Amino acid sequence: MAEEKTLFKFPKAKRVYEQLGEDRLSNGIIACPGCAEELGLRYVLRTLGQDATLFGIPGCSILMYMGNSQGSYSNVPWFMGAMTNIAAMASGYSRYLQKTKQKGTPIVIAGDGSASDVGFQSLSGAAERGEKIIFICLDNEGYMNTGMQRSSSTPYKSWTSTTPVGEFARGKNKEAKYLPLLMAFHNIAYTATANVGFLQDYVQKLNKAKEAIQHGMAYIHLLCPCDTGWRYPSDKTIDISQKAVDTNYFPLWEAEYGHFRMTYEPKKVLPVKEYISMQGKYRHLKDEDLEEIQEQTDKRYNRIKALAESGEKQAQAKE
Amino acid sequence: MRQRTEFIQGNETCVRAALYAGLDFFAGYPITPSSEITEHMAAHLPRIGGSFLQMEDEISSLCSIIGASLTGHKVMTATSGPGFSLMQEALGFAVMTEIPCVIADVQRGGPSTGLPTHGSQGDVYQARWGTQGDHAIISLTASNHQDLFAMTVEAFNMAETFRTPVVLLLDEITGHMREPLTLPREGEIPVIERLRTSVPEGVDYHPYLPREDGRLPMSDFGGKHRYNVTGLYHDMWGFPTTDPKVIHGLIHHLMDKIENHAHEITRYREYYLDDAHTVLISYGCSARTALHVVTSRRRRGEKLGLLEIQSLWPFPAELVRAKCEHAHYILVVEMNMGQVVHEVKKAVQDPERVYLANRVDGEFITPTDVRNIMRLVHGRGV
Repeated sequence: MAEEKTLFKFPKAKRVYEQLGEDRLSNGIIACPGCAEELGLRYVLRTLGQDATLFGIPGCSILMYMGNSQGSYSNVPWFMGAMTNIAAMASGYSRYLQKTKQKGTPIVIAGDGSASDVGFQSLSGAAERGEKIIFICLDNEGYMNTGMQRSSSTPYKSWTSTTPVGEFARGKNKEAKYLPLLMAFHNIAYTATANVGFLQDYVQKLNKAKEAIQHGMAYIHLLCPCDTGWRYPSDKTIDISQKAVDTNYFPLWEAEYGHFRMTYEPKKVLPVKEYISMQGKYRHLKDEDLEEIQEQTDKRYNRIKALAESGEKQAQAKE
Repeated sequence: MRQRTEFIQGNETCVRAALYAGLDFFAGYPITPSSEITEHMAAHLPRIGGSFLQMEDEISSLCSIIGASLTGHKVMTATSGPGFSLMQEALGFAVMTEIPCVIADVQRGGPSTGLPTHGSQGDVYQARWGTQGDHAIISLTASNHQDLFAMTVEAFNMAETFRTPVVLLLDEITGHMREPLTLPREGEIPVIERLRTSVPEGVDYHPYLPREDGRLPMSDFGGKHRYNVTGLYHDMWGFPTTDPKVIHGLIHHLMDKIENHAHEITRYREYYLDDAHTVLISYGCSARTALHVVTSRRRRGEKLGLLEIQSLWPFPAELVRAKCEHAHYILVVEMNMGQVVHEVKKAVQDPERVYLANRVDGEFITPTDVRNIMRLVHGRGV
């Protein structure tokens, strides 16, 4: 297993815009104002756009780059597959590239609904086979394109149109499926969480993912606050994204073949309330709910932290 | 007391009717244009102590209601074409294991992702032949909210009566359209409850042994009686079998229990058919257009009539043959490349009288579209 020990080469970190290429997404696309997905997607194409092929599924993200009958919103080839099996469709393409020794970067852009619910089987299968694709999950914590229904990535107590708030129900009563960890445990070449509030970190991770698909599959979990579905003013997207990290609600980490590493840690950790209270979907929360969410947040962070620390110890022991 | 009238969407009408029929378990997955059914179920079901589940996909949605139905619940799921495609395996399982359930398919343009926000009637054959193997199925549809309410309740009734899945074929246009619905009073539409076995506990119960009238009494799974359920060919105990006699009997039973009762299942509406020279046959949203054409042309003295079919499967061939006996022309109005038109051609004598008036570009078929085709049929040019 010599290959698994390889750490991917990466140029010394530069300021984020120095690493970027041409903006391949046109202006005035149909995203809602303040959409995090648009920013996330723009940086995917600016970082990896050279020979990228985008694989998308029905949802907000594909509408942003596929265009309409008058023309495309992006200047890369795209492929809109089915929600159930987009990872398998990209696998077919990736295998063809390898067989014919052609250059290309298959990038799957899927929402949390496809990645963690209906398309999870296909994603997990692709990960197990080590398909050389970059899978980017745009996590807006629900099916925002069809009208804000819950997904298995919807967090605890969150309002959605299928987890209503009223006399008989108070939002979702189960915790979210933490998909990045599940993907890392598939022992794939590269797994990372990213966030549009930390663009430099995100761009570095995209570059690493491109390196990683020389060896196997890369998975990036991008938190995408959705002002329409999460009910907050559209100018707060970046603030919310940063708060998600600063409260340890959405820790930024990466894993190479299951070796975890924290990529950013807040100097001062804020209470999760500061992140939750910015969003209208949590308007109904009581203090005890917040305590529970704080508990869950701490637990999740500690778990990741422990994995990262054990990874460090292993690395030191090897040295 | 005045009856309550509400101005609501077709999808919500479907929810109200399902609750009227006694639904207490719903599982669904969001898909345009049926998501409103799932959303309203999420809001309404907890109020009556029912269960609402949002599943991870459509396969699980249908499978979970199959499980719930076996334990004695009245169950339903809702989806659209792509989701209905995923459900086909489970649909076949429900047919084979004779488990009552209702599947609302709010049709949109297909194949594949197609036209999520536009109407279509392209799933008529998918409802009939989507799952593999010989089988019979019941499928109902409606063109307005009042009928939709009644047909939804009927769907539950037929599912229980015939121990079979029933496909409720709605479409984006009726699903998203708002019009007044007068809510029926309790008892106004009969609701059929599940036929449970009278076999006492400790005595052998045969889940697949029909009574003399062909109905199969059920026992809640995991309750009083121990029995087996399998998608394999099975005998009256539910044990798998390769005995040719038993297989022959089961497949005939699955077909006959529905096809032989087609006259009981047939639901339709007719308008001015007594002296009609030209008979329009339609269903679902396109029947609204057909009705408009018929009523407006009647005022001019043209002898047009409309047969609105509400039970698409089993196809009411005898009814169609009888109603079209004296027609010079038969025009099938539907929003697909021609599905029911083939059934009509098979049903009537002189099938060369049958023409198709359709529209498949995502737009709702208009009276002008129908009139233009009618002029061609009548040899008057456009």
